[in-house]
Amino acid sequence: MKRAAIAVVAAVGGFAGVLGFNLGGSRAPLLQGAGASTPPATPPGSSSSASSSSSSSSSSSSSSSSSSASTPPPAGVRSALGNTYQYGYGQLAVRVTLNGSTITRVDTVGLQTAESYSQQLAQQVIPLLRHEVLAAQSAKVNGFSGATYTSEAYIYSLQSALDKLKKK
Amino acid sequence: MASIVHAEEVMGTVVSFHLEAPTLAASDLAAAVAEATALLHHDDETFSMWKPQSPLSRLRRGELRLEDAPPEVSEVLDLCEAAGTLSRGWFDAFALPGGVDPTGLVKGWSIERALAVLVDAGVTSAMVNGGGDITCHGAAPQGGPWRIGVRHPWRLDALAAVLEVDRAIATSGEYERGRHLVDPIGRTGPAPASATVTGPNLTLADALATAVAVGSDEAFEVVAAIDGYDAYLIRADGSEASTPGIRFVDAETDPSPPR
Amino acid sequence: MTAKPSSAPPRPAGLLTLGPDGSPEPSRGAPSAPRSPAPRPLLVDLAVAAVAVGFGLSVGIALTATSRHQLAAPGGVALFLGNVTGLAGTYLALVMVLLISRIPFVERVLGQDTLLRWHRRLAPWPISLIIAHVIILTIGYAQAARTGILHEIGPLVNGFPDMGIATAGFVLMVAVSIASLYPIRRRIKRENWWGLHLFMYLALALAFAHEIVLGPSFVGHPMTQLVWSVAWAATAGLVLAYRIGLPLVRSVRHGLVVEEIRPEGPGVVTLILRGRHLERLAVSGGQFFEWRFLARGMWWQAHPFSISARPQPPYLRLTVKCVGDFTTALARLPVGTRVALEGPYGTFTAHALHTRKVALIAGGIGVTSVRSLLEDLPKGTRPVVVLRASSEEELVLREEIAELVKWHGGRLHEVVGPRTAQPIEHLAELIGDLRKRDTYVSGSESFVTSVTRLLALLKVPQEAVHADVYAL
Repeated sequence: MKRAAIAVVAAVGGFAGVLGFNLGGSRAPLLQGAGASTPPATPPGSSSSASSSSSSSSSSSSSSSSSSASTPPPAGVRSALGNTYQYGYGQLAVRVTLNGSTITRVDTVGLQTAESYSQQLAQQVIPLLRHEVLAAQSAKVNGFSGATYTSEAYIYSLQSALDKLKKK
Repeated sequence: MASIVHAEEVMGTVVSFHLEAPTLAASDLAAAVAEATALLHHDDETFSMWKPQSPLSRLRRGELRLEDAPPEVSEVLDLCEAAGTLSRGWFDAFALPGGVDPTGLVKGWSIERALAVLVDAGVTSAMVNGGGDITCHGAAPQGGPWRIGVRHPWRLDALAAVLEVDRAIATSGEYERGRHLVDPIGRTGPAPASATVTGPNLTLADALATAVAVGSDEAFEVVAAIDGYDAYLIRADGSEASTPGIRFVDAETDPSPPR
Repeated sequence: MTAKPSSAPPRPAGLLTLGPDGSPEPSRGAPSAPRSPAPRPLLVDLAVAAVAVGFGLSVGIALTATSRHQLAAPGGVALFLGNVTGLAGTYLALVMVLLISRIPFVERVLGQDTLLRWHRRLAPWPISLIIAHVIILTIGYAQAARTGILHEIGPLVNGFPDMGIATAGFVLMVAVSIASLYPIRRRIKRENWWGLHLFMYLALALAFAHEIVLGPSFVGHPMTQLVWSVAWAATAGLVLAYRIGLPLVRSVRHGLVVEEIRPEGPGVVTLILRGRHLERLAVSGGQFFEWRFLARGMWWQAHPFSISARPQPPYLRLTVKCVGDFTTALARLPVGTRVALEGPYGTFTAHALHTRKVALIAGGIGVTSVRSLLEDLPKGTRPVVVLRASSEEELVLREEIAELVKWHGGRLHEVVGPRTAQPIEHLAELIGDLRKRDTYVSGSESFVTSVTRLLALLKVPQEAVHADVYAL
């Protein structure tokens, strides 16, 4: 009996400790880090081979293009939010900022996943993708081999954002 | 002079076009891109394993005879057989139960067809990138060969290497999570982390990358012996191997990642 | 506690003939073995509190690992519930392992039987929670990926790191749990069931990696990863140290061999073992060891038997009733057979004394622990001993008991006859002042149960009743 009481009190104490720690804000990552910024990755499969497994949204085809010839680049800093692209265990959208025709900034917004592992993967992948978009502009690297679902979602959202900017 | 960047969502991925055509009018270039993307969608419709009514799905279920299928189907199946022979069985579109599965090859084949349309129309510099399977034509915009970054299999914020490529490059392997390749021979053992194949044609490069991703060193040796094709392998333990024809961009002259 | 068993009875001359028949009694000047250390209940209270705090922490980090954004995303609620059930269930599995890890200071206070009882009572919780975890998470992932539940199983198992082995662990866990359900368990031989049960360790080990790599409380939180890993490593260390290491060290150190096997009564034999350094084997009267007889076909099973006398270097003695295949084979063991031991275990010792006076009630073979306990009782406890047997021949060790009782200045009652003729209530009358005594009861489960029930009826305080149940 006595030990049961000890156990209950101690368990409640431990539980309250965690809650207090979190609500106190000292452990921000557990409560905040997750939802705020980033998206998930998706199941394996896209790169080159065995599975041409399409993600759920791939049946609807969409396309967009920007042609530097047909439209002279407008001046000034502008930005646009790309479409939300669903894939695997989450979805993401990209906001792109242009200065003239140069991409100066790519941000991930609307990243949503319920799944921590995917979230972590996406958090690792997306900085690379952002870098990639900016770096590819400088023509030092023309493309990337070994794509992932995350990068596809990213590129697609980016493209749709560029598309919107062009139409403005 | 016309140049265009275009992204098309098709075949379960995004295919991007980076094109320059100094002699073409913008409208002619746009028309060529439209034709090329239409071809990609057509091939997707024909070969999708996920659309139950695609000719390939019906063929797999036995509802359609090969001679009644669109001619591309038998062309692709012939290519699959050829790729299987060339890779000494490491690429095997016929390995799995449920019928032929050409997906390890068909994307590269379709992208090559799209590129051919563009080149016929007069595009002088082109890169078509289908989810990491890339085929190039002409000189890169900065002049000279195309520079393609190969993703690092584990360090998601870095590249494993930057390669100079004249034509086609395909990378296969385990990215983001888990393995997704099926070994036709049913062997177990650590699959390579990343298998890249370069060569004059993306159809075969795509199939061979799949083969190396499954067969690791053994398939690597097979590719090394195929004229014109080269392989760059990152094994499961992180060690690397490459055939002589792989052209790495040196780290000093490489201004791209790793950071 | 008023009486401390610090002054044991000097051994009555001519009584303890532990040595082989005919040989002179072993050197009386030899140092006798120390008793097992006194129980420290406070330490156990602290340990219970620490383990309970751990449970609170686990549930806490599971609940707070999911952000509001994640909860709102497709599948968010199911993934949240799946993670909470998984973490809580796995923590309870860790408690299950701790309960049977034979930590000496815990065992001394609670006793093996209590620990096992808690282990059995807790058992349904971790497995239910873990099954819920698997089902709910599959649903959650299917919702997140916008696919069917059955369709999601493949990607879950193949597509995530360490999920293949975790799935194998889960299947193993469920299989062992099904085998542990009472209707199935009672159909399986004890030794086979025990071997099967060991696979639970493997199952838990297989499942470990996916917890750290995929669990929302651990992904990106090196601190919780570290604490969780250390907790499991420490638990594994305790199991290895106390279930394997310590018994191995003790067995090697003492190098016990069968010296003599002596018939004691119908189907009852006494095994006298000879060993080294027995003066360093800390054991109290009334305790038992898990014995392993290193003979063909027997070495792989361990059985609990009480010592029937305190060690008398270089001898150690146990008395066994032959009821099954194993115990019957014991009577035919060749002299010289090596014996490994694990223990001592049990709280049926003089440490448990609350009052100054003692009553000892033994049914049948239960006499063995009473016999060794008598040696440990402090002077002045005036033990009243009741031996219960269905026939005169079954009153084994009666002379030794009589002599020890005489030395203590106590009383001995021998109650012989079928149970119907000798109702259990009769025992109370024989002893008389039960409420002023610590009562030690040993024997078969039904005997112990009926006596303790009687004692409860007589308002004997629960803490003054000490039981030693023999599985026959």
